[in-house]
Amino acid sequence: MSFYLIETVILIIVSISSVMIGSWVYQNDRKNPLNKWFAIISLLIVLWVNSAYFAANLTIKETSLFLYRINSAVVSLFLASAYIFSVFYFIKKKSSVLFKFVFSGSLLFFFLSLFTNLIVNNVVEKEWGIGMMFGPLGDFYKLFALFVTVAIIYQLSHYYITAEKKEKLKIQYFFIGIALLAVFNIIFNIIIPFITSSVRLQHVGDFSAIFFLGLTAYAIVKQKLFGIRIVFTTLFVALISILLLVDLLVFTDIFVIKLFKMITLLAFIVFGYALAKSVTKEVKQREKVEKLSTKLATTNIRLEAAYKKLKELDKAKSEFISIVSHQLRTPLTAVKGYLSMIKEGNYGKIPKKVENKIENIYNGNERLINLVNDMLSVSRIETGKVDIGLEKIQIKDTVSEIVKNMSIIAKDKNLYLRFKNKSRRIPKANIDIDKIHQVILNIIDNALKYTKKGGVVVEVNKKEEKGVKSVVVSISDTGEGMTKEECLKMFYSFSRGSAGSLLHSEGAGLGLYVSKKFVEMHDGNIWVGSEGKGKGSTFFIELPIKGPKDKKNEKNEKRNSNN
Amino acid sequence: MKKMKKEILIIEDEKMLAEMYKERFEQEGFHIHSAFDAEEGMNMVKELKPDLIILDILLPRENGVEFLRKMREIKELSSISVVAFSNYDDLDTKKEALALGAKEYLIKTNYTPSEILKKVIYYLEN
Repeated sequence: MSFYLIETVILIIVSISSVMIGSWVYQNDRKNPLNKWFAIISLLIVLWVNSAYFAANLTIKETSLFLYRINSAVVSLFLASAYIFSVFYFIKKKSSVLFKFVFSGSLLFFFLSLFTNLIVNNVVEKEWGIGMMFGPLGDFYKLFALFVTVAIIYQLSHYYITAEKKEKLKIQYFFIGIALLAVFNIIFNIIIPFITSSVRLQHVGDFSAIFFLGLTAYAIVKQKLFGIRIVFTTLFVALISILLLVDLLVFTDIFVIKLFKMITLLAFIVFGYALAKSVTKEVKQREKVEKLSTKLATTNIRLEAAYKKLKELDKAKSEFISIVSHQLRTPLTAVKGYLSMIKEGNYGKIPKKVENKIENIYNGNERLINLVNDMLSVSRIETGKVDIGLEKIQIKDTVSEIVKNMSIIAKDKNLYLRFKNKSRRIPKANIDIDKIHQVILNIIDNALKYTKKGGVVVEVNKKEEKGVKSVVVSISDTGEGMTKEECLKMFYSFSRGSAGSLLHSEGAGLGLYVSKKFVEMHDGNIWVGSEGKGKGSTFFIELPIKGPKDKKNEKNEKRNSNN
Repeated sequence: MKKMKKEILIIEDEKMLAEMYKERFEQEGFHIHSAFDAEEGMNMVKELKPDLIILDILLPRENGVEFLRKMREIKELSSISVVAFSNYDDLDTKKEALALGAKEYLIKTNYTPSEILKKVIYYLEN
């Protein structure tokens, strides 16, 4: 295999690839100047490598000279185009002074190359073909090329430092392309001639333009860019494959060894591919994880902010309610106060006729007061600001006390109120005495309200179910009774059963709601049963002896101290 | 036997209510002084050294708890009985007031003036 053949093959590959890449980028976005200039650069590269190749390999000296001059001119055009492309469009910076210099320099060298012998002086026959000789301004030309390259690299580096990640990736690709181009050119145009004092390989470096084109094209067209690791890995594998191929083709003569090297090469390519794939996978995974963790972090921040806001709203709400109830209560206090003083005779005797009315007003006012109290309780329960203070209590004592206090009201209504089976042995239960007192009082009060004749019987029992011991307070009345539906609804809405809605309208159903909440705080149960309409009803309050399972009073204490 | 009239200070910003309580308490033979905010209250406490203070919590500018805190810091005033007395029904405030030595935290609407009187007499005697 001769060098000439290899060179020809590479030329064809590079030319076709450049045209393909150039048109691919151009098709991708015809309107974008970036894509247009890239296509121009691709074309120039095709001209560049072809003119160099033919100049070296043709036999007629005059044609060679002409072609070498064209080559030199094309290179100067390439320099200007590369500058315009990278600085103007890639980083969108339009610095006028430098551009004017580059532009005028390129134009100058373009004309000098084409029409004078100051750049390309002459051609000379060598053993491998026709080589060229630089004229007096050749060194200036090389300096200019170096200057433009450095200028591009400098401005790109500057931009790179301040660019965001996506842009950085694009520039990295571009950089590598330029770096390869530069490196190859330096090796083949400067170092090797210096070492071997032969310019034979002078234009081989030009072919590395294909890497430059490929990488830049990728950077422009692809929205998603792979990280630098993948690029390096792939390049590395490609480079070594090429070296192995070259070695196999050029430097090996013995067929068996050629075969062996071919197998090695194939194995290496397979390995390289697998390696590139695994690196790609790893990078993709890492990007995925990074994305997820950023998402997580953002979500967390949002959650924290939302929670904070919620707490503030909650605080504002309870403050609002407290202040509103204060405002509502002030006039209620005045009415209660003065009416009570009038009733007590502080302002003299009241006529009998008026006495009754005063009593009615007073009671109406009391209802309002109770309503406000209930509303506050409910709001506090809803916002979780209720403490539960547990003690071991003998619930029979509480019931006795309430029955005693309520017996006056019962008597007034001609109803009986009895505590049955007082002597039954009942264990003490771990409860919040204030709250349970309120609940029992509320239920008995209700029972008396909605019973027209007969009375109310209260009993306390103990119960054991599924290993859980509890006390059950039952309050039975001989009142209206309820349907099954009404029984179920009793505690679930602010209803009072049909009896309540038709005949009695004293008080809201908030009392039952609060009672239910209080009982639930004890991990207890409250429900009502009835045989039917006209057959009375029985309310049951069940409370576990051990008290609520999770130490709510501890929880609330902690919460209150955090507030 | 000289019967000393008990001096009671009511710190209450609602004039309507302050008058009402004053009327009731005076009927019972107490000497009532009224202050309408914490600052006025503090001045009167220092001047009068009352036997008992009925302290409203929601006051303009400085609230009752702050007043209580300041009062407790002054040695000669720290032994005066205080009954906290408000329509502001906040648990934390209640705890604070009791922690600062208030004898009780009463909700005004739950008591008639006579009932408050009973409480006051109770705390004066103990």
